[in-house]
Amino acid sequence: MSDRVYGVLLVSFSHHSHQRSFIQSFIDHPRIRIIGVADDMDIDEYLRPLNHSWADKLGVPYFEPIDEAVKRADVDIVSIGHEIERRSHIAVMAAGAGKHLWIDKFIGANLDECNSVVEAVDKAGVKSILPSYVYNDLVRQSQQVIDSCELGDLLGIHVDIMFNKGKPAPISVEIRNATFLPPGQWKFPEFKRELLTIGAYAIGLITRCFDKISEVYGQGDAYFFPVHAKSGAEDFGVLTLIDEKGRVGTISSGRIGVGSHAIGGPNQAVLFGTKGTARVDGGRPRLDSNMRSRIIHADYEPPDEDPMQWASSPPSPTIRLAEDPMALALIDLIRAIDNDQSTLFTVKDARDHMGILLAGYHAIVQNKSVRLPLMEEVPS
Amino acid sequence: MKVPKVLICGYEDVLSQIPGSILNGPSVFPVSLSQVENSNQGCAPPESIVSIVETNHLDLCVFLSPFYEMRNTVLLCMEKGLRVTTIGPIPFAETFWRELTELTNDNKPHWRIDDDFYFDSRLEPLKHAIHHLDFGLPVYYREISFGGLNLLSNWWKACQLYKKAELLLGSSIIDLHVSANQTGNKIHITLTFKLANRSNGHIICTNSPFNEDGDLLLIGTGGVLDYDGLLNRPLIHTHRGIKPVSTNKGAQVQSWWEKNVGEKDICIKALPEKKQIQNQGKILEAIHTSIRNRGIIQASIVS
Repeated sequence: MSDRVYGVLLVSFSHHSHQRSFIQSFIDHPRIRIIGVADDMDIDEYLRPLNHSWADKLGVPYFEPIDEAVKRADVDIVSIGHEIERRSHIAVMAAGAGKHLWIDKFIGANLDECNSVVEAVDKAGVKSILPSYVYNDLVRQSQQVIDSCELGDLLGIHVDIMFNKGKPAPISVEIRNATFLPPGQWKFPEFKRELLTIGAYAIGLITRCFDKISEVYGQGDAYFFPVHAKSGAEDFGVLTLIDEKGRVGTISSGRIGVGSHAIGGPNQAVLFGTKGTARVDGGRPRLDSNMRSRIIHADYEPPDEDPMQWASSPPSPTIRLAEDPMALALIDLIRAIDNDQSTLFTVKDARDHMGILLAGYHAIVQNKSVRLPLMEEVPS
Repeated sequence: MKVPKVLICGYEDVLSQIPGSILNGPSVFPVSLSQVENSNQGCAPPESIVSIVETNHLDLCVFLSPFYEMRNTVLLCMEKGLRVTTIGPIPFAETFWRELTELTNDNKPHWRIDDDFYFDSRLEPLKHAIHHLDFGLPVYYREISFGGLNLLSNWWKACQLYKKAELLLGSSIIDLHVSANQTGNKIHITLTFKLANRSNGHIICTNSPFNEDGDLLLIGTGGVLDYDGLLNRPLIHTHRGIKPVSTNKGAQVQSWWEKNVGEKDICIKALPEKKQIQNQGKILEAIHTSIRNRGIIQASIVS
């Protein structure tokens, strides 16, 4: 068994991404060493000091620009936590330098960018992983149910994944009538497209259990937040997916507001099989913790500096007992590098995943189902 | 007071919910569709039903389950001057709406859909919660239900939940996409819909084993309402695993019977709406097309 220690370069702590969520796993793993933090020179004003503070906290140097840092001999893995619009460029550059890729959620902002990453990874023969989708308990327990064969043949899946984050406000009629924003632009200062941000997890589960998705339909114009409504950018959406065998997957996802759910938001799947049906709660296993002081003194508000709670969570009366999905993903990446194998979710999976999301958005805009594979130039 | 003579028709799983005190009454003629289907060919009314209708002076025919010969069977009952109550739509009835709803020579409507039969004890608490507990504006309705043994039963259940969604969300469904999958005799039907108030929903009906009380999720801008049928019943640990205690639906059915059929004159006051019949027919058509094409079908409903 190899005991080689791999050096990781952390590219950006953009608050549109989740680099901060990966850190603990990198620190905890005995075969990982954080080499430094790097970023581009032309970044948002808030970001450079934030990157610096993380570098200081971790006791590692901060590098600009990224391409010089990526070429360092002590860097084996590049962890890309930049804005979605910058990821494909960084990923292609890093793969070209022979580095393995750990990428947050999406490899590009459109299918062309995703394809360029897949091509670069194939050409370089490096390993890639997107750790966010298939290592969590909802997916792992669902997979366990399917593997048990107790369900028989899988007929369909329904998934509800919602975040009880952010503080909704009343929405005036004029604002509610905004036209739905087509896909393409993902970065906004005040909000995220939530089918992309949260629905992506549900798609990750369905694609793990189904064959290739062949058709997608969606809806997304009921709103919780004025800031989403006035831009016509969904904070909640539903999708229906069909795979090549005709199996039906349905999804409800969104940011539904703080205080609307005791344990973070619905996070569940129902798997329908020919022999039975299974309900999987992604919030379990857990300890329920009902403490008097938490009820009596409950006066929680989302923090002013993070009103949509991209980087914070409301308190929960439960204690998670699940394994950390990031730690499991890291084990998978190291296994893949050691043994020259694939991870469970590579850039190819990420490209297909983005295709499904884009199809969902086009379906909402056109109010009709969209077939896959998607041609990027689908008119909106 | 005259005790009405009633034909009750349904599959075993539905008939078994009817209390024995009703089913074994001297003026009640139960027919199991499971047995009828085995002996019947084509779309002619099943012989056992024809025989009961011809030889007994019935007042009312109650159809608790759908079947492919139902349209002609109902027409036969109406030709005989009988009142008909169906607990869901009649398959392929949309083009026969006139025949099914026309006034007969007694100038009274003869057919009604009484799908309140399926409405459960959760409905009133749910309505109360939506209207009085800071639920806010409705955003999403999702209900998963065991819809019965066959495709038509699941279609009935889907139509029922469609109506329930409109009732709970306080708006009309204006857009409907249907996806369905059939593997062997296993059915999975999904309705994805949008309402006029911009809320959305999923209705999922299956004949795979599922908890009989269903699974409901309602999202409003003010919070979440959910109901898990399994968690709301006693569970027994047995040598063969964990088993939920069956819900006793007898009281609910008894109450429906007394309200609608019992010892009183049978009077059908409201005809099914033409729009409703058309939409329900379109849902069934879309289910068949989706299964055939393995695709998502937009049902051109009238709202």
